[in-house]
Amino acid sequence: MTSVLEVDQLSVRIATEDGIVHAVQDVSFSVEAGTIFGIVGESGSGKSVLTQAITGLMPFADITGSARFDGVDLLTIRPEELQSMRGRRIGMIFQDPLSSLHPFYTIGSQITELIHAHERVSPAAAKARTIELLTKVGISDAGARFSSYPHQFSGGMRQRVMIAMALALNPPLIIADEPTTALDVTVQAQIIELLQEVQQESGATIMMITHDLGLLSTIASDVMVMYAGNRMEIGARAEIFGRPAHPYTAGLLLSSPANYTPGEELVPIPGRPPSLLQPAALCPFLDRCESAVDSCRQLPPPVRVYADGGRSACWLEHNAPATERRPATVAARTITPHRQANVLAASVQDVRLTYRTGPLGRRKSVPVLKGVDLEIHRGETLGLVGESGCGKTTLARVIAGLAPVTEGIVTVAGADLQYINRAAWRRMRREVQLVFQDPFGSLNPRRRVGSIIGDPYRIHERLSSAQRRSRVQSLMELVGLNPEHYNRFPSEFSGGQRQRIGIARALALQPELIICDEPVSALDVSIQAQILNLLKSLQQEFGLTYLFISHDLAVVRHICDRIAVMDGGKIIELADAESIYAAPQQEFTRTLLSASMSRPYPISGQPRTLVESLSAPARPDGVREVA
Amino acid sequence: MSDALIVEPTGAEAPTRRVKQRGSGELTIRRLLRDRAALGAFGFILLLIIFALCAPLVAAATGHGMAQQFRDTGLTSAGIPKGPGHTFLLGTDSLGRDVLVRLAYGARVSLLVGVVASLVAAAIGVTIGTIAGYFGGWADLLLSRLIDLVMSVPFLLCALALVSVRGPSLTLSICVIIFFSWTHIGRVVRSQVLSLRQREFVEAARSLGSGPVSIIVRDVLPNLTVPIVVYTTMMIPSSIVFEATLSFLGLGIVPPAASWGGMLSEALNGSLYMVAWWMVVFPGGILLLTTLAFNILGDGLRDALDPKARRVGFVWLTRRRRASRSEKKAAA
Amino acid sequence: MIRLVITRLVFGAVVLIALSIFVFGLFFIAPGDPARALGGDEASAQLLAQIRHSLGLDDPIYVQYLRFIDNALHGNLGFSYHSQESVLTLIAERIPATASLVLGGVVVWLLIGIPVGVASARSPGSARDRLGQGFTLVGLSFPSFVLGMLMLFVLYFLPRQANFTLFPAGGYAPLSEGVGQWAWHLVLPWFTLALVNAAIYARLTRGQLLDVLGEDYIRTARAKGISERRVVYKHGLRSTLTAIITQLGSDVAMLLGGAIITEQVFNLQGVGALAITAVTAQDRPVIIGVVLLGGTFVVVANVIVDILYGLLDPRIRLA
Repeated sequence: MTSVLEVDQLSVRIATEDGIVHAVQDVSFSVEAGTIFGIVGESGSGKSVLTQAITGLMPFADITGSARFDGVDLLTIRPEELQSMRGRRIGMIFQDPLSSLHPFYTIGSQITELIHAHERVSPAAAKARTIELLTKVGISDAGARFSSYPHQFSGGMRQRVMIAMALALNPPLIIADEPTTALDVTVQAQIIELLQEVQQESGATIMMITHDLGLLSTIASDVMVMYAGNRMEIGARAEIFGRPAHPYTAGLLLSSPANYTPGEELVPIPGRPPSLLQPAALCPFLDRCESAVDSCRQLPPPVRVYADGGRSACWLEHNAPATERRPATVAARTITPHRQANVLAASVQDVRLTYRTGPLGRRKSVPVLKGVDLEIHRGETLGLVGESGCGKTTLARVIAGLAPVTEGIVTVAGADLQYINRAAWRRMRREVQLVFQDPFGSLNPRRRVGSIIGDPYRIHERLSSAQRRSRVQSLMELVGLNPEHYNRFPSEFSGGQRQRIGIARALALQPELIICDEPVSALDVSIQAQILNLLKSLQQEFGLTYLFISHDLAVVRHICDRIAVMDGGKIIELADAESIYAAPQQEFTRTLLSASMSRPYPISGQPRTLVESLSAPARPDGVREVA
Repeated sequence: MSDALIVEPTGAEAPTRRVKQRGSGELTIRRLLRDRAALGAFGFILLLIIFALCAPLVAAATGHGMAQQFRDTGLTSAGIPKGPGHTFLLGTDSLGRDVLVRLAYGARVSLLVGVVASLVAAAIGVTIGTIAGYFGGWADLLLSRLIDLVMSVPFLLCALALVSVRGPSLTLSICVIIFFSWTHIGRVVRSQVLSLRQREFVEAARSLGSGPVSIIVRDVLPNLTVPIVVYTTMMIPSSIVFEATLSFLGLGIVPPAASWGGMLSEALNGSLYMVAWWMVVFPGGILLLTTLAFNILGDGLRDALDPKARRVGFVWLTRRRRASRSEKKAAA
Repeated sequence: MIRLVITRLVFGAVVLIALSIFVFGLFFIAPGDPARALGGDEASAQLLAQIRHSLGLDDPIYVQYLRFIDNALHGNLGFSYHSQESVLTLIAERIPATASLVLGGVVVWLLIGIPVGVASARSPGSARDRLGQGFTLVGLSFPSFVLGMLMLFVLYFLPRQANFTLFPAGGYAPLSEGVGQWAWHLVLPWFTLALVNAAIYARLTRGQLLDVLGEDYIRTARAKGISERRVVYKHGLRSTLTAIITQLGSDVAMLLGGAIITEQVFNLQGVGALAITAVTAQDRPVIIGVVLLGGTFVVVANVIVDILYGLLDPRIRLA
């Protein structure tokens, strides 16, 4: 078993205006040839920085350590040599294929450019090879599409082009940095399949970087778990997913909706990741770890080596005890006690919406909603699932009264939206509210949090500022924020906290219906669970009604009573949550289901055999030990 | 509520050093104070303002009025102006007038025109840009076309035509400058407002029932302070040069009133400046320094208010995943 | 793509019409009386009426305007009040000077501005960058007539004092006198016209290129292992070009203004100088003619720029 890449004590420091960010701290690992090696971590874990630093794509960073590949240390060779290795010996696939391909050059020329940069071939030969590559990755009519531009392809096709580009010179190592994150769920599955095929055929080694644990549980042979720039655990797939040694890994698995089993609560990881402006003197996960022991607070953890070859940087000698499942503390979810089947919070009947786009003289009609019928009962959580472009966001806007329909009846809180006047529309705002997807974009960066949350009161009620303030502060407590942070700006909060602010704002006037538009899609997995739990408990307490929109069936399953699946502007299936999962009726639902759900890995409680413990390696910048 | 909901434990930052979060206003001032060039520029501008305000004092101190011609003491026997010396600190011009005094009065004109024209043009540009960007549709179509129209017009030629008809005057100069300056900031504001309008917090405000005026004032405009401040500051030197150009071509302020451009025009007349270098160096120099100072100040303000605008040479990666994903969803 | 061209042409026509109305209308609120200007102060009322009639000033405004447009489309822009020559002829004989100045100026400023901007962007924060930015700042702030006069002083007058001629005092030497003479006379005017703009473009290029170099597709290009030089020029600059071209379109109007000033400083008998003399002499037909010509030039240039932009960006070209 030869290793293709050996990284030893890699540290990456980047200078920013706020100070030096320690993006990667002392990470070591080795990648076996011919395997798929997964690196998993949430945002800020340093996983992308790691690979970009090794390949020389971060010339401004301060990199120490070693990375042996192809017989040389990538960190010590000259830039020109490293440059010649890129593309030829190391192929790279990036996350967003639309922005990763040059918009002004044909895809064919972008691939041939790569070939010409490293080999002396005639343009005709390069072109022929490119066409062959394109066909291999599944692009039909490759000969003609050679001269197409990136914007003329769909997302999945563009990613195939990027894969073709990475393969062009048959590199022994391919680094795929979040290759499927920006794609639709059904396309994701296809791309992963393609990558596996490619890997098996060429025998190349793939390093797959992702935040999606479920993805790796199906294809990776070894996995490294990163957190706050440090390596937490590394090991074979079976052990990482079956008997995780590190509490963080266990926490990730438990809080991941993909590993959800019905009747149980999601177990989030409390708190949030630490700042990277200081290298971690002790275990970086300390503040959020529920299995922390006294030693954790005094010394940095040693590296535990297990019989199966796995390693974990932890004081615990055996598996994380958090593998024990918590029994559901929340009442059974099948029938929500507050649900009133007879009372409708909102309903739409045969709603159609057609956009007229295009410049004057060439107006095109684009039908977005093609006859949608839906009823939302008071007290329930209705999930709306579909891929991008299916119309779910538009439907949400329609129900919220923000977009007029071309045909059909929309009723919210008993009022038909077609016939209300402006004043009534304004009053109706109290009844339906939205929680948005983007925690960074949904709050005005120039306004203080107290003012943002207090906005509904300012617009709809006559309260003195003192009264408003106290109401806002109680709302903040309700959603788990510190009420003393009333005067802070959104930029001072993390993504998860901002989402809480958005929820508080939506909650202020106790609306009949809260529409949650992908509220957790932009959050880290460990924070997602926090927010989902929050939404559920608020619903329990206040008898709220939710319309929950998502592209992720796994998330929706946890929180919804009924689920509507949308495709092409119509609702193609509507049933109880469990029925959808147990017996999907429609073909599309089945595809969606199989693509988004990974096989839940049985987590056994069997302890692992500790072989040895290595003390924490001396950090180059010296570690202050707290007595 | 279960324990899982409690916000991060207060010791979240405890083992690591507390990273001090500074308020944004404080950060801006700190950055500005660190920028020595901007401070120097600001100092120069202050001095210039004092110089302009004290123009009558300068006249009184030297004993030379602004339009007073000293043919015997100011000109040589051949009728050529005298250079810098005892009586005339910066020399005289072709009519024997004191250059120093005229510079001071010229400063008044330049500063007045520069600041007034910029402020008014900025106000117009911001208003039109905001309306076009926020309301879209027909309003945007018409206003954008209007902006395009005004920008297509060869402004100096039109200024020429206007002046030939109405005769030169200070008010006319200011009006012409305003008319041709507002478009640039109008365009910038429009595109910023357009992109702000797509942001979710504006949609959130709408869904809360906020009216358009309220949204514009509370949500949109506060996010525009940086470009507005920076562009307005940058417009001042353009306006000053524009006025000087008009005066230089004889289209601006009416002689014998002093204007830096006018002084330069007199210097050019008959290539007089070849023998009287002070006639070009002093007015030209002060004009150059003034524009330089305002430009430096504008740059400094922009760097202090929006440090991302200053390139540090790499891209911080983490946020991009979130941003690109949500953009993609938004585009869907 | 075609519709883009048509839209721009239509809009251009609208601009020209608006411009012609504006200019034409201006003169009806003017205080001066052209008949008196021609006839002199002692002209009798009868003579004045005669002159007015012969100039067609008796007819209502819209008739005059339509007549004017009709004439213009046939190539007749009227006759100078002053010299009785055809306005078109007057302008035509001045065009070579202005054209040489303007076109040469554009070339010079692009040749200076873009490389300085690129050099800065390639190593941001370095000494080279700071130097470039310093030059840019000064260049930006230098009013062109001040620069012109200073250059003449240093590069013409001072050498003259020392009895040799480095650069001429100004004036225009037509191509018929030889390319060398022509260029020599134009060097200083070119730099005067170009310096401010070179600075603006250097700054623009630097800013845009830095933005572009932070884009994902540049990272992909580097990941392909192609040389950094190629990454910057072929991938980076190509995207920046579109921004530069757009800016060029907006700057055409400014160009004409700059030309007028430069012609004054260097005593070039171009269209700009003609405009100035016409203004002082209240020679309406000439002013109208020059403004219209200027407007046409701007419109045509804008259309060309828009077309170029569409050609450069395949997302527009193939839409």
